[in-house]
Amino acid sequence: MADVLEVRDLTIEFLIEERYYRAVQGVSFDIGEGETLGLVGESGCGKSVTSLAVMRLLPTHTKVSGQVKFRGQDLLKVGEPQMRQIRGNEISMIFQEPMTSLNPVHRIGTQISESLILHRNVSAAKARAQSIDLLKLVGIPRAEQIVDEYPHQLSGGMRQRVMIAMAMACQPSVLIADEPTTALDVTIQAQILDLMRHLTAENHMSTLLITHDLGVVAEMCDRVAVMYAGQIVEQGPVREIFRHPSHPYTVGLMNCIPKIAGERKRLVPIEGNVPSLQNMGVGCRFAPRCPKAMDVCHEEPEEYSVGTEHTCRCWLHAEAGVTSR
Amino acid sequence: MYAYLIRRISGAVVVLLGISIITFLLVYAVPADPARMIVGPKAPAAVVAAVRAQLGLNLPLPVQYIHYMDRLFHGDLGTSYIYSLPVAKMILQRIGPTAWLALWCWVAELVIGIPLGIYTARHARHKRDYIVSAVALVGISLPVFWLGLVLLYWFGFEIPILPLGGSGGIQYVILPAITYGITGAAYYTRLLKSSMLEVMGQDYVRTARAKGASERRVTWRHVVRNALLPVVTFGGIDIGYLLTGVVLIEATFNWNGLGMLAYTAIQNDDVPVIMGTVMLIAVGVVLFTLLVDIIYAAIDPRIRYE
Ligand SMILES: Nc1ncnc2c1ncn2[C@@H]1O[C@H](COP(=O)(O)OP(=O)(O)OP(=O)(O)O)[C@@H](O)[C@H]1O
Ligand code: SF4
Ligand SMILES: [Mg+2]
Repeated sequence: MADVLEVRDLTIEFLIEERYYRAVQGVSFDIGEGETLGLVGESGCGKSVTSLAVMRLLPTHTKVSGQVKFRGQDLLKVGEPQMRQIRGNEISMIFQEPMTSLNPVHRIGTQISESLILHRNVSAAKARAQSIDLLKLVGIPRAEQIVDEYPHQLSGGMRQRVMIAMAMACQPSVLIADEPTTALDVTIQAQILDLMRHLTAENHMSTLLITHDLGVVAEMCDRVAVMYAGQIVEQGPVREIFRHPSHPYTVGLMNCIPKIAGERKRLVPIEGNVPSLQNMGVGCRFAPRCPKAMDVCHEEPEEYSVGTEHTCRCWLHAEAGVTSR
Repeated sequence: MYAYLIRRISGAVVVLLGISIITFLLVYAVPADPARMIVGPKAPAAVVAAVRAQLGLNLPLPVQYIHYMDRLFHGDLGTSYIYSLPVAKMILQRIGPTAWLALWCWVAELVIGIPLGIYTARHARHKRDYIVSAVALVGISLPVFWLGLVLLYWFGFEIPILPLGGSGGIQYVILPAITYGITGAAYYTRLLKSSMLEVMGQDYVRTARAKGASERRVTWRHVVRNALLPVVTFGGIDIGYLLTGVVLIEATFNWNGLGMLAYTAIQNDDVPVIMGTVMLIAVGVVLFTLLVDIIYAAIDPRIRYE
């Protein structure tokens, strides 16, 4: 499987009050043709920031190092005009906040048309016709009317469908979806996920699906990367990780999902808080919350192989040897 | 949209009624006795009393107010104490020149202020922003009066390409408008800049970038239009105030408009003229605020369909 997106050693530092703080450190992952990679982790662990780095949409003054290779080309090195050709065209993004991610003063059709006009060089009339088709594609009823309506006239679920239509407009090869359903209620969530699964499969898109819901991962993803405090702590095929979670943090996350569908079991959240950017300690970042912490955990663990394509950043698995990455 | 309009218009009517009451009470806020003002300081007390009765000043206040409103609706704003001319006529003659001047003053503010606002927002926290903002701030703090005289000296006297004050066509308008523009533009610059910076942080701007839009396109299509909303509000209120602010400009440039009329009326205790001009300016402010609401609805669909 050819990798469409290869992220290597991605490190992101924000300038806060004249000092740089590392929000993401040494993140590496690959997404193959038509593959869906889930990126999970608690709030603030750096999921959104990672995806924005791929799109090169982080604020200026942010230090980004490493490589983000799209079909072999390092996006961190291309010029801004060339990057604009890629955004919305080759790589599209869906955001978490459907309520605020659409421009309130432009009609739905105008907003979907924008990518088409930018990348496909089509006339406004043609873009409008295609926008209607896209609205139909994402299951919006009365597409002919909705195309002329404004965002505030639509519900959250409908707006997220519009966002998806917008992202699909130029048939990108990579789709980044940053918690696309978090802001929606449960029944709508299922519908949107269904829609995304269909569209990505039909168009053979590679997808980076950001979520903090392991249930969504189980349903949607081929592989999953678990992030903690700016690092990927465990990565591998979904089945593998659900069967043999190796990192104590992943184990903790698994315990948070209610086991039996329908029954409201008490969630067992992992105790403690994520360390803040300003006081990231040395050694394993999970150590303060880890039930299995040992002396050696004062030093930073590397990524060790624990199975086929399955890696884990934890001293418990050090004997397996450092991965080849 | 209609429901919205009806709500706004009925609101404006209530405000206008309030204004009429306040203006009506103005007579009692001024120490001068109207009857005495009319007949002059030497007339006997009996004459003053007769005039008072004739003016209806002995009637109960509410009755007087009804009479006042009745006259108002018939276009009768009273008679000037000093010139013995109908106030309505005096005002009517000056509305044209003042509106003409005010319009250009406003245009000058926008023409100077809005581009600077966009410029400073696009270069926020860089040297160019600091320089332009500092210059705009100097403009705001210049006294109209002083700046006007300096401009008159240079462009009316040293390099005599423009008339040395007076009212008339476009050549008379240029200097007062530039003066007003320079001293007022900074409000628009600052307002638009902060509004643009706020909009630039919005999720939908990120969405536009994610679609591959250029910075220029993001600024013009996604940021400016949203950022103009507060500027439109301010602009409408400002044009209302301009009707009052124009007093200073008119005095500086010897422009024969409403401002001059009000200015001399205040000096002469000419109450009917004061009442008339105050009423007119208040009505102007209310109408422009109403106009703003309507323009606002045209720009922002969320309001239109509310
Ligand atoms: N522009 C920024 N400047 C400074 N710090 C930032 C900036 N953006 C994000 N951060 C910090 O980077 C860290 C990672 O943030 P990020 O938004 O990626 O988290 P996340 O995993 O997406 O969380 P969530 O699940 O809440 O969306 C956080 O500590 C956040 O405060
Ligand atoms: S390295 Fe140590 S502290 Fe970190 S997760 Fe593994 S056992 Fe826990
Ligand atoms: Mg996020």
